[in-house]
Amino acid sequence: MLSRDLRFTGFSSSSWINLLSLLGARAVTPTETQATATGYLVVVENIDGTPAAAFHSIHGSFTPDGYGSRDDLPRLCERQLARRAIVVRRGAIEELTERAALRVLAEDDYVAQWLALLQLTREIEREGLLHFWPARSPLPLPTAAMVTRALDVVLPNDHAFLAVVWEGTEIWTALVVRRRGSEIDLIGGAELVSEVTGPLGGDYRRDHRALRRAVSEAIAPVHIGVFAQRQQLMQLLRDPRPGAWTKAVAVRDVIIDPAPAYVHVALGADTLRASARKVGAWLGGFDVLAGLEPLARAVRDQVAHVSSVSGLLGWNPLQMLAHRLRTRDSERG
Amino acid sequence: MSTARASARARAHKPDAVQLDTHSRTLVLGGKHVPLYSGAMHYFRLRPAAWRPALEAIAALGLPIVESYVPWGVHETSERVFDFGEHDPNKNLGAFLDLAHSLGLYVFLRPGPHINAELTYFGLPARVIFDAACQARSPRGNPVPFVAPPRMFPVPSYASERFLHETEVWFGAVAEVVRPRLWPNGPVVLLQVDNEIAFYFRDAPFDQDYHPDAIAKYRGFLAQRYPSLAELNAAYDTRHEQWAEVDPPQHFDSGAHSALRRQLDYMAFHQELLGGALDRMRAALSEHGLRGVPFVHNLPMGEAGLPTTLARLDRSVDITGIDYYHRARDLRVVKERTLRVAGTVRMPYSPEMGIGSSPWLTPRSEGDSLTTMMCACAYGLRGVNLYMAVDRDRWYGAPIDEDGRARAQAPDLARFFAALHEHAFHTLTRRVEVGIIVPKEYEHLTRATHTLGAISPCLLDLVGVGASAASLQDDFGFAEPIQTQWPRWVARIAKALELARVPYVYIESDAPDAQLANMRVVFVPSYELADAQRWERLVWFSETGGHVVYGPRLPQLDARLAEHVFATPPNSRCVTVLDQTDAEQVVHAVVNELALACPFPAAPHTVQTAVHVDGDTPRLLFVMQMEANAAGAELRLPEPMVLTDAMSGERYEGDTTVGFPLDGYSCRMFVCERLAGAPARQRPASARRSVPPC
Repeated sequence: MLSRDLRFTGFSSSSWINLLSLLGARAVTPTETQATATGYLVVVENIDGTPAAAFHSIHGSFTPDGYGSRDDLPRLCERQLARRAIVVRRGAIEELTERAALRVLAEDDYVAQWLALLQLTREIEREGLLHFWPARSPLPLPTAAMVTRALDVVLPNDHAFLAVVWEGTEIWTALVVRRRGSEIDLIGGAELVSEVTGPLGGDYRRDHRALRRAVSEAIAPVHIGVFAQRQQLMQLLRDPRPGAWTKAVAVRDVIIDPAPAYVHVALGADTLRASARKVGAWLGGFDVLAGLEPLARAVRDQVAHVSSVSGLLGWNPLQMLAHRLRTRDSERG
Repeated sequence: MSTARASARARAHKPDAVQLDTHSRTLVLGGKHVPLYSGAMHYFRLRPAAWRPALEAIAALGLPIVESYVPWGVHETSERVFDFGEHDPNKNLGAFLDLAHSLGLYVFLRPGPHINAELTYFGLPARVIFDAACQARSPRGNPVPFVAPPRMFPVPSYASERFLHETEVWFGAVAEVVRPRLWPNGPVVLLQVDNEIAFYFRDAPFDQDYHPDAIAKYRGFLAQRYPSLAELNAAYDTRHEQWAEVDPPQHFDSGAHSALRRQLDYMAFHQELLGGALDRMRAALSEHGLRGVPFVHNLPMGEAGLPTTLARLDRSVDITGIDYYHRARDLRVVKERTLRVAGTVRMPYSPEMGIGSSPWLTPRSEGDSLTTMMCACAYGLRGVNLYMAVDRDRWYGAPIDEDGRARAQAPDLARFFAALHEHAFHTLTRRVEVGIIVPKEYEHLTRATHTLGAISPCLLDLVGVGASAASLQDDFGFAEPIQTQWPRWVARIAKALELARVPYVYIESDAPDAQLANMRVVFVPSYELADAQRWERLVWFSETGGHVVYGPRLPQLDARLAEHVFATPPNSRCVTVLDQTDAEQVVHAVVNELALACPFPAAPHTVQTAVHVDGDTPRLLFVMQMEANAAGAELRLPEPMVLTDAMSGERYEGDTTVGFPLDGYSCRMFVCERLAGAPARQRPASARRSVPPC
């Protein structure tokens, strides 16, 4: 998935850190904000289960007094102010690296190499050489083919993904990702985008067309472009409320241009969630979405083949949202 | 005699050779002293049209030297066929060197073979990487992949004769281009051998190298250590009938003393394997006519957990340095690492002072880069290579873009180097009277008892939990687990010295005697086990006027765990340090007794200072706030002074104290001047020790 000749270019420290801050922005749950325990514990066990070494990921090594078995991990974490613990049987990492040596090198793709490594980690976890507390999600790992299929939907071959974020009239960060020969071969930053675009007006609602056109000509046809102001985008990324994204797109706080069908589907789902929540509240907590699950599954199954969102859903979510917003505005007015 | 010293002596007799003056910390080029300030630019990654503006921009930063890797994998177009510009103008190394020469810049070249540089396969040709005979081997004989993007690849073996031979062929090709351009005929004044020699980051104690050539070298190493097989059998409690039966340990198998011996020997072998490979590669460069210039090497971060020491490498090359890719909030780590370099090597230098970073590493801002560099200079670094000065593929944040245009942070860097030049920073001294000894055999024990395989001690050191975090907690029949206790002993003493405002350095125990020459007191962790030769040096140090503070006990076993009578150093005290309070009491007593200097003490305690003097005159003062909160710093002055911030120009003056604000995790550099008209205050007589080498 990553080209051997991958090119990463066009970032200043600021534009790179700004980009990472966007990627790292996420909704913060109340449990996380209240948590006082940080970091994790690593306990290395001898073959007989007795502790051989132990350390806290922030505070360093400690003597694991009171550790008799893996059942003691919750108490140990509480005492050492840690949120999680990993138990490693002595020799487990050595076993992992030996098994990984040939499996990893048999793959000629970085994602496939990592997936092979993660599969092996699961394997030695199943054998009891590794143990996580609390238990990790049992979700199956995707195969490399599944990841490629997902990428085919999000960013088809010989196309580019473009995101540009403004702070006032200046570009705050940008990202262009190109897929060529089935692999990502270019990750570019704000400087690269500015270089191919030339001087801009400073209004993202107008500049996005010039950006899209220039990147399409100089790098690759843009498959999806996202354009927004920093503050609005940050707020959206941290705002878990259903409907927030759809509303932002509808009022052009975020411009998605071009917007492939899957984006419409996602926005439609977002609208649906928002509406369902509202209706659910009117109905005293009834879960409206549960009844729609078969429809949601059908949409997910078809998402790769969607050409017309209205054709798929039978209604246009953006039109519906615009109608709702107009109604609300007229109520206020 | 070490390779580096022999080479330095040879150069000293040749007027057309580049001399390294470790007193003025400069390269001496026909009488001209050039400080080691340089900036990295990868000619092979830039359009040739951008070379000139990029070089001019480097010069405008105040850097007299430009540095570049020379990547084997880029120049080799097919097996042993090289393109140095004959086909691809981007690869025209000769033209690049000639252009730098014409612009008055000197050049520091790093031809590998390992270069990393975020290149696929770390800059090595695929045919070499995938040649099984060149690959390092795991205990079960498997190749050893490293996880670097965009492809994990099997790392080469530093023992492989095939790999070393291929390297020699590559060096021959490079030499054809570089030899005619060595100073004084050309701009090349420094060469680096290899890069970050630590088994390509697969550096855990039993992770590799079980290549057949490595095993042969291991047996040869043991044959030198144990004059006969019978002696080896006695030491290891084995019954080998021939050397070919002696295999290296594949894991830490027992805490019995015979097994400990074997495992400590294996750690020592790793160190020699790497040092020997470096010696051989350096010799290969010289055989191809690349001589008459100092040789450099750099260690990656996490050196407390590495399989080799700075001191060992400093015997193979003339300049040994370390890499810095820290954030401002890592100021304490920057300090600790720099104190180790400053205390151990002859020329404290960083061949990779990160400016910007690779996208695969922790993100760093412009402020992170500058603060890290200033802090490293504060604690003793005397030369830096800005890595990168010019941006390139798979990098961000260099002060000069890929077209050679200065970016926004360039003026700050230029101001910083202008101040270093103006005050001849490289010639100044940070006066230190206290050393903390880092015993090599204890580091080996810590490594050998590591329990997390490829999640190596170096990696644990790098993430901040310490190289001994995953070491076994068994005591192996000693009074306590030495492998986990000695780092705590050292950390407590260091913290106590910091609280007492006493400058100190770390001295690796295999560093040359000269590193002890200016010390008045050394603190030494000391348990049942110690290298007898190292202990003799302590006794010598003490006999020549130095003070030794050791503890918790006098050793009884030598490094091979054989009984040995250790003399008590005449001028010493044995101390018990069970907690931080003990350490502070010990340090307090020593500071008072020896009247150790505490220059420019600052408050609050999170503010630290480092002064650099010319003779006895303070010239540059660095003040750091080591915590996240902003602070109002108050410094006690030795005499009425004006302190001028070298970056902002702000001035602060005072008779006995001076105050100014500091941001969280920040460093300010001040020019010190005596207040005009103020009477000179009597300075305390220097109590420095100066003794001939042991």
